[in-house]
Amino acid sequence: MAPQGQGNMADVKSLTPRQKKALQALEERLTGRFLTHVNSCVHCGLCGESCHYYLEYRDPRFIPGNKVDQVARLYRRYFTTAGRLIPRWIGAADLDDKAIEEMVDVIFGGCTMCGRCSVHCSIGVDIPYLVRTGRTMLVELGLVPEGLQSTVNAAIETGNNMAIPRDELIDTLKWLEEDLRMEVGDERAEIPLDEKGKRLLYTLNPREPKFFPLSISAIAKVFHAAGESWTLSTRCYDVTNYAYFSGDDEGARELTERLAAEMKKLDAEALVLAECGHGFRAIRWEGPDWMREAYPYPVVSVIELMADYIRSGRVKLDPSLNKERVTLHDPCNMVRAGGVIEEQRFALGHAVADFVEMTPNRADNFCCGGGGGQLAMSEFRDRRVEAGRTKAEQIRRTGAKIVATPCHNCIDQLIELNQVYELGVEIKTIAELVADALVLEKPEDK
Amino acid sequence: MSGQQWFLIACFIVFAVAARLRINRAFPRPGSDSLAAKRGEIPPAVFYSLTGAMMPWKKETASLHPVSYALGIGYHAGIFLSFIWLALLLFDLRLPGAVASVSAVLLALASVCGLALLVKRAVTPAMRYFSNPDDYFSNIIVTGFVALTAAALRRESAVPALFVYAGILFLYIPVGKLRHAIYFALARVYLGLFYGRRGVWPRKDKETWLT
Repeated sequence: MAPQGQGNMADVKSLTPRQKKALQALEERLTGRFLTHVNSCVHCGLCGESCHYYLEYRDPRFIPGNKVDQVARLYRRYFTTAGRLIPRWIGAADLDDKAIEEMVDVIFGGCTMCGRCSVHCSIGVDIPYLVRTGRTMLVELGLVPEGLQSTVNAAIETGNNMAIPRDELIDTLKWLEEDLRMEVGDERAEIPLDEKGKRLLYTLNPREPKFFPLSISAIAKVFHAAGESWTLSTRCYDVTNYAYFSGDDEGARELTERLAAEMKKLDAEALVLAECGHGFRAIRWEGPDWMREAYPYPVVSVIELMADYIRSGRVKLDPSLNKERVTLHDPCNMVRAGGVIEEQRFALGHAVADFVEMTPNRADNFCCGGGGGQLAMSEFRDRRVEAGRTKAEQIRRTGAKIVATPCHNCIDQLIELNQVYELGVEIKTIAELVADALVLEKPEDK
Repeated sequence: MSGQQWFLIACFIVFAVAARLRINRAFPRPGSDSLAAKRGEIPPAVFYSLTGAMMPWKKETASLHPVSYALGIGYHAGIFLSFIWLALLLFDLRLPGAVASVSAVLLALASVCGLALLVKRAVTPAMRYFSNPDDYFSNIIVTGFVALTAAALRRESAVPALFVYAGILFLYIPVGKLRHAIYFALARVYLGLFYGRRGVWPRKDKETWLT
């Protein structure tokens, strides 16, 4: 179907080849789901208070309904009869420089695609889905913010988004393995690398080997305590998928297929995703649709796995080993859009002595502000931190000393919020708290 | 049947065909389901999306905006009531006078609700920012319909005008934002499919990590 704007040739003729490609990307996505959501927003504006950007700035640009409009007005202009005949009347707009500039600012710089607005929308418009479609158009326009695009490029070109050389990764993991042996007092403790036929292939967020190696130690300790059969790949281990954030379906598919190929190569029984909200969503939920193929093996979050260890008695925990008050931040992509809601609570309920919920929580939780690729877009840094105020105040109200969260993007943002808003808390992964609470059997008892 | 009645019927047929075409394109296609393994149950989630998730205590758009929510509910209740009366009047099915009188009062109140929402849109800078002429006109044409229905219940002479007006309204629904009337239920279904597959919905009322 050609854009109906071609009926008014002047409109389409004036478009650049890239703009035409962007409209073609939109056209390819005119599915029933898209048509339903794009035609459903009534501009009631009541969604504003569900968005952490709008709460901070009270700027109408950040009302989720206006984010929908960034895409809807183009859809109306080029793909509806009314938009062709009476564009101003129905709020249809040309894909011109002004529209594009606002799109970049609003849907890259003013939205984390957290989806909180959708849960609370009077109609039920899937706003992040429409925003991501807008991002896909911006991919075609070559207007993905540089930092985000370079993160995607690094993952595609080097195999991980931080471009960590393989030797450096192996060195880090070997060093962590030695530490693990000392910590658990068992020479048999290991971090297996590239081993075939293990039960689990475990992934990493490249930020772990680069900046947070203790979170790798923690999960290795948990796997050791559970007697798990597992391995890491040193060639393809990156759980992140920033192409999901940028809207680049082709890149996202490529990254997902690589992990699927590594699973096949190492012949593991299940793929276990590290503590990464968007990585979980991208691989677990979006990956099969990008690849147009269902996974022939289970894909689970390590949070689900740890909850299972605790439930089945494979690991024993002593909550008194974590005495400080702990609260939990729910990563949007893992909880609201991922369904892993109770497992982290179950794990923390057994791993810490004093747990307190944030309000609101679970599928109602506020985004920390670090999602949607915001941490990779330095041009929107100030806005990201200011929009995180809602989360900072949520944390402050709990009186907690530790904030646990199963997502490394959230961790980075929370660390920054902790400094800026002087929260005086420590930020930890779930695995770190579970590892700290482990009651290890002596090696001779095994 | 009068000319006005035939006009209304003709307009309704045009609307019904347009709505049917739109729904056909928007309806989930067989095989269009996500290929990701399900984590939850989809039918209860879709049911929840169409029921429990719409409750005012589950949506901030309602709980944080009780006045707007009440106005919206009153307005939409009036719209539904107007369509029921339109059908009754079209086919000359008369209800007792008392029912008509009470309905007229309720519809007048609903018109006031619609007018209040229109004023809110006009005077709230945040809403004005992303409102277009269609947003205002859609409210005006529907509020007018509700008010005219109320008038037609009190004065028989207004009934032919109501038929013509309603016919024009039917023609306008697929053009602008009133088309949400066609898509609303489907949007809830799609949201239920999304959250149901992922095990997020249906939400339990008393979720706690202890259970």
